[in-house]
Amino acid sequence: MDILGLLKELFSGVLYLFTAEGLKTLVMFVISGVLIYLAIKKDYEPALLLPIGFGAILANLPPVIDQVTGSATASVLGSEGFLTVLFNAGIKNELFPVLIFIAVGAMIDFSPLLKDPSMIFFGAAAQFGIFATFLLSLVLIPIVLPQTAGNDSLILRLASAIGIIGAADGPTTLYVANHFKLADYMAPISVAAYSYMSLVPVIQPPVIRALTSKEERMIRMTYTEERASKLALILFPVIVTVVAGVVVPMSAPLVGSLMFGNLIRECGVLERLSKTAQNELANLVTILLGLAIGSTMVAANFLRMDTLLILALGLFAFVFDTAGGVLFAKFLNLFRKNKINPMIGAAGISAFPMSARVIQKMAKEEDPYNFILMQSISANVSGQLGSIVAGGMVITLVGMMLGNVW
Amino acid sequence: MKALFALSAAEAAAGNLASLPLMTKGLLTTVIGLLGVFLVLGLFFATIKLMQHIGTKDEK
Repeated sequence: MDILGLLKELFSGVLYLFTAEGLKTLVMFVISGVLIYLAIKKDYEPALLLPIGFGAILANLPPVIDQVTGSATASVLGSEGFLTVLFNAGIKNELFPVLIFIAVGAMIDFSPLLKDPSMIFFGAAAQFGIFATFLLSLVLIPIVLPQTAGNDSLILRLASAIGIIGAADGPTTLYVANHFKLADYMAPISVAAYSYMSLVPVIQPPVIRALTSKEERMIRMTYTEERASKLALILFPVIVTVVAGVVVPMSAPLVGSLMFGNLIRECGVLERLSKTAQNELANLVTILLGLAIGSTMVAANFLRMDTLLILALGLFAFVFDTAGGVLFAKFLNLFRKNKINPMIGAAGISAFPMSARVIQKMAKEEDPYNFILMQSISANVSGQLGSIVAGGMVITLVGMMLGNVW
Repeated sequence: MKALFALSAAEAAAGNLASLPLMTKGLLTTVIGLLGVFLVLGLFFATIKLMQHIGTKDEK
């Protein structure tokens, strides 16, 4: 090998940046930079967006030859690259979503919901956007992605995963996408789900303001401070697991892990485990999940038309979920003597506890003495349950429509 | 025998669903899915109400 060849080999990474593929890499670096900027500067879910952004940088570094497969990929994505190992260990087999739900379950206090169970229906109403987007996706996917035309199975499966993005429930979205074997679309789906989760304070307020009057946003609601009984708090996760597992078996892994985490919290004899689930487990899995999601954002898989479609439809789903909850509350107010603040309906999405906090902040902006946090929390935890059940329903129904073959 | 019959009936139903047009499948999924979510959360609501009733009895 002459000197020039040696230098070319040595600086192949630098030269790669000046190729067509290299330019795509630079675009991905910019996108990663935006995610990291939003995490650090804007404080939008930094625990998620920062690992995702950094994982994307790692995944788009100039390729090297994989000694096992002989193909050229970023060194972290080779057959034994650490991000490949993470992806296979946690996302491909649904482990990370389940672990995240144990942690989330340990953080949730169902007491406000048990005191005022009528709030649970907001968790159902706010899933409206999932199904509206599912239908819209069935129309748009074959038009925008002509390569899918005629492939009803792919269209139905892709529409299911896109719809679930609206619930602002990252783990359930991953669970559905994974169940339907949408590996090629995992990058935009997961990025949309987790980005929109973190953009709750940006996306929800304008939708709520557009659908409510100032008077409606100022409606006060009464709340009694007392906690639900210990027996009820212990029985609730067990009964919910059994009911959901019997009626919608496909939701059992997610409901079960969420409720297991909650039982650890409420049983009163596993405080150490409860704290571990809320802190160490949540933090560790969040880091690994974020990096693994970032690793799917390889330029070749991400800079495509379907990414734009998925991001746009995901946003539509999110907006319609919010609108569904608000409109449902307004509908109930037609028949109720004690009016509900319709903003609470918007908390029926799954982004816990961001959505509830946003609603309380908006209520305070209209009336500094209005305190609707507990009702918002009730709707928010219901949204957590609702999105899991909706995910299970979609998997079951679409599976039936496809004859359980895909 | 009965179980076999039920199984083949379920298979036939699944086969019928698979042959439906795409939008019909979508509409069915949407309607049944939304109703299903309300039904399951309604069951949770009933459960909580029942537990509240038991709790009130205990307190008395």
